Parts: sequence; C-alpha cells; structure tokens
Amino acid sequence: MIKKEEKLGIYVCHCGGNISDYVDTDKVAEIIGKEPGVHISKAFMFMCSDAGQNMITDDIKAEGLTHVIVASCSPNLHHMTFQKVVSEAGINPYTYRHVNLREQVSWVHTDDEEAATEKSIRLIRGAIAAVVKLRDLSAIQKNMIGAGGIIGGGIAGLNAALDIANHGIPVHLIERTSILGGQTLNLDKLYPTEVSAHKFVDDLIERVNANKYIFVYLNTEVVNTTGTIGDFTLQLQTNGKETQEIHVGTLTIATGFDNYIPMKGEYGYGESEHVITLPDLILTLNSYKAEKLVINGKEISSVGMIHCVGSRQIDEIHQIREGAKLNTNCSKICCTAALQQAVRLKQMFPYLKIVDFYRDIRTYGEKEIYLDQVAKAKVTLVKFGDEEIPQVEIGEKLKISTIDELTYGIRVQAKVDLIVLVTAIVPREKPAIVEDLSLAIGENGFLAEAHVKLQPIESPVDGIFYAGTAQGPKDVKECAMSAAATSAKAVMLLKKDIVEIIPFIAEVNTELCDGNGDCITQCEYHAITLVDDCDTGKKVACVTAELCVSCGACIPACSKKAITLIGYDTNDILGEVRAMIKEVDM
Amino acid sequence: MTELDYDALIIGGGIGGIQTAIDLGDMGHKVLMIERRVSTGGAMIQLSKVFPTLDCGSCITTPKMSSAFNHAMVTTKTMAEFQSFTEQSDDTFEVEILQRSRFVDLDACSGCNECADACPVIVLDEGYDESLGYTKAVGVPFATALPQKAALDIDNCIYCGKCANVCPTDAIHFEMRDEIQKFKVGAIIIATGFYQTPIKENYGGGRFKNVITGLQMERLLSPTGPTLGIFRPSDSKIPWSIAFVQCAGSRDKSIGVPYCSSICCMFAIKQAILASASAVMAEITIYNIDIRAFGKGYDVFYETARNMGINFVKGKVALIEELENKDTRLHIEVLGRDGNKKLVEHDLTVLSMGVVPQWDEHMSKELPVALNSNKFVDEIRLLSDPGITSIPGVFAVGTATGPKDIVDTIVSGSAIAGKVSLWLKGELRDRFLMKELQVVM
Amino acid sequence: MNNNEYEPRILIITTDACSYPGVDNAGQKHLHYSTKTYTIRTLDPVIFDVDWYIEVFKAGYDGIYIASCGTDSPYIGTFEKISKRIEIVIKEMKKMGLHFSQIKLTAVCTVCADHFVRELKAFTKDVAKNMPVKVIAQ
Repeated sequence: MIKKEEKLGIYVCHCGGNISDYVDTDKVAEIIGKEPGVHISKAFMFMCSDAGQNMITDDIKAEGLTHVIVASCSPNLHHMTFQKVVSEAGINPYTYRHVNLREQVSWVHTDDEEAATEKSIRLIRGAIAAVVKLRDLSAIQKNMIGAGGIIGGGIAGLNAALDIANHGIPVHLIERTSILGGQTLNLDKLYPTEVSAHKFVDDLIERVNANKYIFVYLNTEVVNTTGTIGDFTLQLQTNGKETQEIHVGTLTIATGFDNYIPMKGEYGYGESEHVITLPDLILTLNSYKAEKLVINGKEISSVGMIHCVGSRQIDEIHQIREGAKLNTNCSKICCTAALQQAVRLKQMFPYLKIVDFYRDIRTYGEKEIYLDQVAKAKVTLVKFGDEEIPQVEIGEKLKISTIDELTYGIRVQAKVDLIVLVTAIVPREKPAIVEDLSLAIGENGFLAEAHVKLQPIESPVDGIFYAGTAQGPKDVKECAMSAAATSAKAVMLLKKDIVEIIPFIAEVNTELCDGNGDCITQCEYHAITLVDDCDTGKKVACVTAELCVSCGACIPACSKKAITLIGYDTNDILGEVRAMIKEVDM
Repeated sequence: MTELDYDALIIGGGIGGIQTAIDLGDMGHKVLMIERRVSTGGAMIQLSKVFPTLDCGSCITTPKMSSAFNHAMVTTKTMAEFQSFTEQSDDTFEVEILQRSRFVDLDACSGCNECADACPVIVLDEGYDESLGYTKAVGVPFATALPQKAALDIDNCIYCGKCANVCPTDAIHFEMRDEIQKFKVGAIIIATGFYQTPIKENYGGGRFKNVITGLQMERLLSPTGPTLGIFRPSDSKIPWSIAFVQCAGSRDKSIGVPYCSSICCMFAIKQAILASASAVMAEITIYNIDIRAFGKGYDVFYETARNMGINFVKGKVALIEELENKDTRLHIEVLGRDGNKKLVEHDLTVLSMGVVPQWDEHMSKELPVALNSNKFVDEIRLLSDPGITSIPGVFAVGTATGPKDIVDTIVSGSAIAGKVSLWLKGELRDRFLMKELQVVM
Repeated sequence: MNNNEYEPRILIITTDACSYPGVDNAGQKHLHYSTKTYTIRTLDPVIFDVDWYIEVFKAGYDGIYIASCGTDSPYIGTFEKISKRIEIVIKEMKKMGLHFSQIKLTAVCTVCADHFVRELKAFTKDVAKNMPVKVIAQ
C-alpha cells in the first residue's frame, strides 16, 4: 500500500495542554512512528508557532519528506496555515492532511485518556491511508475573454454596462427592441426622489452612448448561447435576419419583467373600458393636458384602485388562467407606485374622489412617506382581508364592495367612474438563453439565484449574473444596486487573463465508461455530456470542469465505477475508514 | 500620488462590510476593515435562523466571515474605532484609528479558552447574548467569533492574574494600552450597520423582564444562545402565550422614526415559526398594522405562518403593563372585525424594535457626510449610483443608508465594492460632484 | 452477553459546509460522547453508493451516522438522493442480518452541537441494543 519512496512526516501538537492533558501525545507519536512509510513522528508544544512551522520546513528539506500530516486543532483553524508551510517547502498543497485532535478528541473525551489516545492513533492512521493516495493537483486554468456581455437594455442593463466599461473593459449590450431604456420609459416620476423618469433614462443613455467601450446592439435577439465562464459564444440576430457571433467572458442577464394582464372578467377587466391597469393609467396621464379627466369618452369624477391584482395569490381563493401557475409573490413595488399615482391624480384633478382598496400597504423603508402623502391628499383607504376579494359590479357606475378591516369589519361599497387595477410584476417569457445555459427558474417563475441569501445576484452557473427584475420585483434604486453588484462580480473576473477553477471535479475513466449516460441524469448542474472518444470513437461521458460543483451526485450512478471525484475517491475514503478500525496495540 | 497604506478603509465588520471587503479584495484592492466589537460578524452572527429559507444563521455567516478574515488582500482589526480623517489634495485620506487594547497577544493566543475557565469574574454578556446570558471577564467571545481568540474585558477585570497563569502561550499582557494608528487610504466605506431603537416608555422602557427585543428573542431561539430554548427571562418558565408587537419603534413620528424598518415583519414571522417549534404549546400572536412580506418568496413564508396557526391581529399596542406574576398585559386598539379596544395578557412579549443607524450625527462630526431626513447616511445619487455620499471618495453600505435585510445588504456590499473600485481607478469623480442633484438622482 | 456493556464503533460522515463545524462546536462546548466514534469529512455524502456503506459494515463498524446538511445542502437535490439510497442500504443490511437502526441519516448544522451529541448518544445506544450479537463476540 505504501510505496517505498514515500516518506511521511507526522506532527502531533500538544496545543499547550489542550490536547496533551487528555491525550498521551508522546505515545501517539511513538506508536505512529512505527507505521509503514512514516519517516518522522514528533510531538511538539505548539505546531502553529513559528518554531513548529519551521520544524516542518526544515524536516521537509533535510529529510526529503513526501507527505506531511499535522494532528492538532480543527482544520478550520489551521489547515490553511500548514498547507502554506508545506507548499513553500516544495510539497503540493493538495496532498497535505490535517487531523483534528482537539475539537474532536481531547475536548470531547476529557474523561478517558486511554480511549482518547487510542482514538487519536486511529484517526492519524486513517489520515496516513488517505494521504498517500492524494494526487498532486493544481487549480484548473482557463483563459478569460476580456469582454462582458449584457442582455437587456433597460436601466439595469445600462447601469451594468457603464460600471464594467468604466473600468476600460469592452461590453456588448444587446437589446431586443429599437430603443434603450426599457420599461422605465413608460413611467412618470421615480420614487422616492421624484426625478423625471425620462431625464433619468436619458442621462443613462447619454453616458452609455458616449462610452467607447460599450457596443450597443438594437433590435437584436440572442438566438443561441453556448460555452462556460471565460468564453461564452452568443449568436445574435438583428432585425430578424442578419446574424453574427460574439464572444464574452461573463454574461449579465437583465431581461426585465412583464406587467400582469388581468383575465377577462377579473374585477371587470375587459368587460368595461373603464377598468384599466395602473401601467395604463400612468401612460395616459403622462401625455394628459386637459383640466378634466376624461377616459374612454367618460368624464371621471371618482376612481377606485384595487391592489394585489395578480400578486400574492392564494390557492382556492384566487382564480388563475388555465395552465398558469399561482403567483404567490408580492410584487413589492406596486403599493408605492399606486399611492404615488393617487397623489398625482389628486394634484392634477383636485376634485377627484379616490378610494384605495389594499391588503397590506407595503411602503417599506423610506417609501412610508407616500402613505403620509395619500392621507394628506384625502384618499380614502379601505383594507380588505387576505381571504377576501373585492367584488366589482359593472353598470352605469362601477361598484366595488368588500369588508373593510379598518372599520371593524363593515361591508363597504364604493361607486366609481374608473377602476384602476394595481397589477403584478410577472416574469418575462423565458428568454432562449435560459434554456441554452440550463439556468434555473425559481418557484415564482423568476430566475433562481445560486443562493437566496448569500449569492443573490449570481446564477448557479459560474460567470453568469442577474441584474434587475429578471431575478424578481425591484424598484429603480434596487435595480441600480443589483446592476452595480453584478458588474463588480463581472469585473473581478474580466480583469484577469485566466480564471482558476478548483480541481475537485468529477473525472471519467474513458476505458471503463460505456456511455450509458446514467451519470448525466444525476447531474443537476448539466456538467456532463456524451462525446465521441477520439481513440475508440465510442460515446463516453465528459465533464465540463467549469460547471462541475464537486457535489459527487454522479459518482454512485455509474455501474462501471468509471467516474470519480478528484480528491474524494470513494475507494480511497474506504481505505481511510478501514485503517481507522484496525486494532491498536497500546 | 501619495503611497497608500490601504486602498480602502471599511468601517464596520458586519455582513455589509464583510461583503465589500471580500469583493474589493477579489478585485485586487488592499483593504483595511475595522470592527468596534471583539469579533466580526455584526448582527447577523447573533441570529438563530434567517428568513425565508430558515438557514441556520451562523452557518451562512461564518463562511463569509472567514473568507474576509483570511483574504490575502484584507486586513481585519477588531476592537478598532474610526477616529478622524483628513482629506488630502490628491483625493486620498489620512485616517486615524483607535486600536483599543485587547490585553491578549493575537499572534500568541491559541483560542483554547483556558483563561475563561480560570477567570473568577462573571459578567453580563451585553454584546453577543443581548444581556440574557453571562460570560467571563476574559475568554474567546463566542463559539463562532472571528478572530477565534480571547479578549480581556478590563472594566470588569479584578487583576487576579489567574488567566495569565494558566495561559499556555503567555498571551495575556496587562500592560497593553490603547493606541492611535494612522493610515493613508484611497477611499472610506461606512458600513456601521444599525441599532435597535430603545424600548418606549409606554412599553415599560426596558424595566419589564418579560418584554424583550427582537434581537433578544434571536438569542433565546439560537442553538448558541444562553438558554437553549425559549424560557422567559423573569422565571425561566416556558411561555404559554407569546405576543409579537410590530412597529414597536418604527412608523412612529413621536420617536423620530417615521419610516418603516423593513425587516421586522419578516423576522417576527420567522421567530413565531421557530417559537412554535420550540415552545410547542404556546399560543402565538403577531399584532401588526400591515404585514410587509415584500421580498422574493417572503409572502409564501407569511402564508406558511398563518397556516401553522400563528395569529395575526391588526392592531396598535398602546400600552404594556407588567402584572404581579410578571406576565405582560397589552392594551390594544384592534383594527379588525371584533371591536374596539382590548386588553390581552401574554407570558412573554417580543417587541419588533425600529432600525436606527449606528452612524449618527456624533460620528458625522468626524466624517461629515450628509444625512438624509431619516438620519441615515444620504446617498446623493440614490437611483443611479448606490452608496455615493456627499464627500467624494466616501461611500456607505448596508443599513448605514437605510433599513435593509441580509440579501439587500449583501447586494449593496458588492455594488459599493464595484463603485469604490471605479473611484480608485479615477472614475466617478463627476458623479460625486454633479450639481444638478434634482435632475439625475 | 450483555449488549449494554459493549461500545459500538461508529463511523460519522460529516460535510464541510455544515456538520464538520457542528461536530467541532460540540468540542468547543466540551460536550462528551463515545470515544469509539470516528469522523470522516466529505463535501456531500451523496458521493457514496450502496455498496460503500455495506463495505463499511463489513470492515467492522457497528453503526454509520450520516451527518448531512439536510435540506440546507449547498448542492441541489443531494439530500433527497441520499434519503432514497439509505432506504436501499437498509434493505441490504437486513439481508446481512443487520438492524435498520445501525444506520442513521440526519442533518447537523454548524452550531447544532447539543442536538448532535444528544442524537449521537441515542444512536450509539440504539446500535448497541439492536446490533447482532455475533459482532459483540469479537
């Protein structure tokens, strides 16, 4: 098992008594010293001290050690320390092994020195069996194309492009419509600063157009995407005909959202031309000049707004389109947007009576100020329950009725001339790129991030980031924030010529592989494909290093045992397990 | 240009500062991160679990803490406070840091904690355990603290010397003193996080033992907490009925917090869900005005809580009294269907305190960034360039600029790292100095 | 022969992300458990196939305690895969005369020290009670 030329150095740490008070460290060193292949076995007061580290370095150089094991505190504290020591002395850092004698032996077995000593010996024996099997490894290196790709020319895409380009890095910005700016162009003023949406967007576009590192592609769709981090190939089609290919190192997806279109009959939508959506209202008001509000030929003197149309849907309470999924999500921005428009209506047409039907007013953070403003503007607020849907009756006047939770559950009715439905932010129809790169879609239809809490703008695929509302509802400020964040992540990759990938990836033994594809079905990350073996021409599995996350799910799937995880060979781990249970002659 | 000691100084080692440090480091910038407390990790490391995934809080904090702490480009100083700054003519800053004495040699300490075992002084833990648990006057602050090294609390030390005697590495040095350190940096990032508002007088002003704050509830629920289960502070009884009072320090002009604190609805719902697993028999009620579960996947979480039988009552709590048996009595103006004012009694009441910035007017005297109307650091280009403050080269991240949950704080950390990197490259100056604030914000 | 006096040998399989720091945390709190427990560290136990577990029993271990990340796993879908696999392992164990309680799949978080120790102690007891007598005779 142990080859002749192997010379192991084992260092057992006292940890100033933390280990040696409960484990006979000298005895451990002595017994381990007799193991085959062990050239040096020492116990020392503090391995992590300069003296301890120097001892290892000197021994490696003087004695020609091939492998080092330190048995001390938890590897979470000092694995990296000693990895660095052995590496600087010329041993491959991936072959270093650390044994935990403090947190997992001496501190949990303070009452039985003999048993703790025996356990220490067994754990080190396991490490010896493991360490001699470890291969010299180095990070996998891949060339990085120094240009970023951004899909979507709304405010998130524009901001993301600027933040990359300002580093002097070329950016390809792809927009499927004929203009930049996205849906912000349909808005009036942006909360909470009340700056004009058009001026805001114009400033962004001006800066994008002035930047020589940004290449804008209008009327252009991404029809096909291939590749991995460092080198993605995008097939572009402009005006539905001309095609071209571009290569980028990272990709930012900023494809935005859609507004929910209510079903026919949902709160009277489609049954009366005086039931409209909030985006409709904003667009109408944007170009409205007259003193009286007239919509679709009718003079409007009262308006009812209904919140959560298409959002926060509950099974068996809300009806949905056939084949559609329940949208359980809160659309986050519409409460504030609705209140902002209510105030605007009152400013433009002070005579208007406005009744606002809501479930919860979600003017979070500084947006609370809009709740103040509607109160001052004398907008009537009616709160309906989670399981209550306001009823709409179409007639000469439009009737909205519900049970008001603010006035002790009295059924209230409002007769109005116009109903504005505060509609949901819903995901865009799946862009082709999502399919091409097997990006995950979350429960609610928006792009799913790598980790909901810790990696909120990263996709599960390395080198791909989500900016703006493609990932979930966001206001303008939050779009800018997520765009800036994606560009920071992109820049740190694009600035490098080479991207390093950890070497613990699945590896296929092509001689054993029979190409039946069982491993492929187990891989949630689409990292394995079937390819032609150049030598034999048969189909064999091939792992894409950039996509492999080292989870090991593919390993047990192979009946031929043709696939292993580098650094975690299950046979070698079994060897370690067997070495630990061998009797110890104390 | 002046030779810089660090490209950027980050003030605050919570999750916002940590994310900024990691990303700046990954972009090749040399960073100094200073933290006032004995460990990095901020408020997040105190949390039991996080919404809406119910991931264990420390499990997802410690990897970030450790990648910042061990980052080759990041230097972390704990027990270090920002003192003052001088702007240099070349867009750099000279900063002064107060390095408070730890009385423990960080290089020598092995984190074995034998000093704590030897120390005879028991001290109320006002930091990590939010005054619900006890600690020693010397020792490693808590299990997941980083650095995982002892610190000596000189205010409570009786100078018996027992710790120094048992220390296997002679790491304890009573002669250590506070010192002022000066550095030249290219950018400053304010990542000082938040405080909870103090308990209002009509809620007992902090005198009622069984009226606790949200962060205290986190400690009761945490597997690393002082109690390992929900036992109410007055008598360690498992509570039969728990009240959560929302907006206990927000949406309230009378205390100068007119804004919504954004995070408290969700953390109260989370705590209610966790409490119903820990104190199985307890009846749990959340008194609220609106439930603001607005983030991705948050509303489903709220729905889950309702389906679990947690009561949501629309109402404002006007007054809390303490009864003779230490139970709490709540005076509620009920908004809902069943009438007007009500008196209800609960064994334990948890207040969802407001979020107020740690970076206050006092701090702003040394580093005079403009504050907004809510007294948070003002982002002068709020809608286009997050984190840019009124002083060129000074940025703000996380809850320093307004209430944020963990996700938004992490996103802002990355975003501001990107902006700082641009500043260090000589870009962005125009964005700081633009005159027409109203035109493009 | 008294099962209660024998201390079964237990293999503890941990994960880098969750249970390894969790087991460390038990050490930081100086909690105690059986000395006949041997821990290995993996990225995710999903890597082991059914045969692997059987080989561990054949090597002489009396119990296998799999401290996974549960549903908190950093990897997609692995916990479900392990759960299904352990059901098959139990069927194979029965064929060998082993008792189902000799293997346990659980989740241990980075600070779940008390939970871990409580559960491991109960598991150790269960294994001692239910394991076949022939192993004890060694």
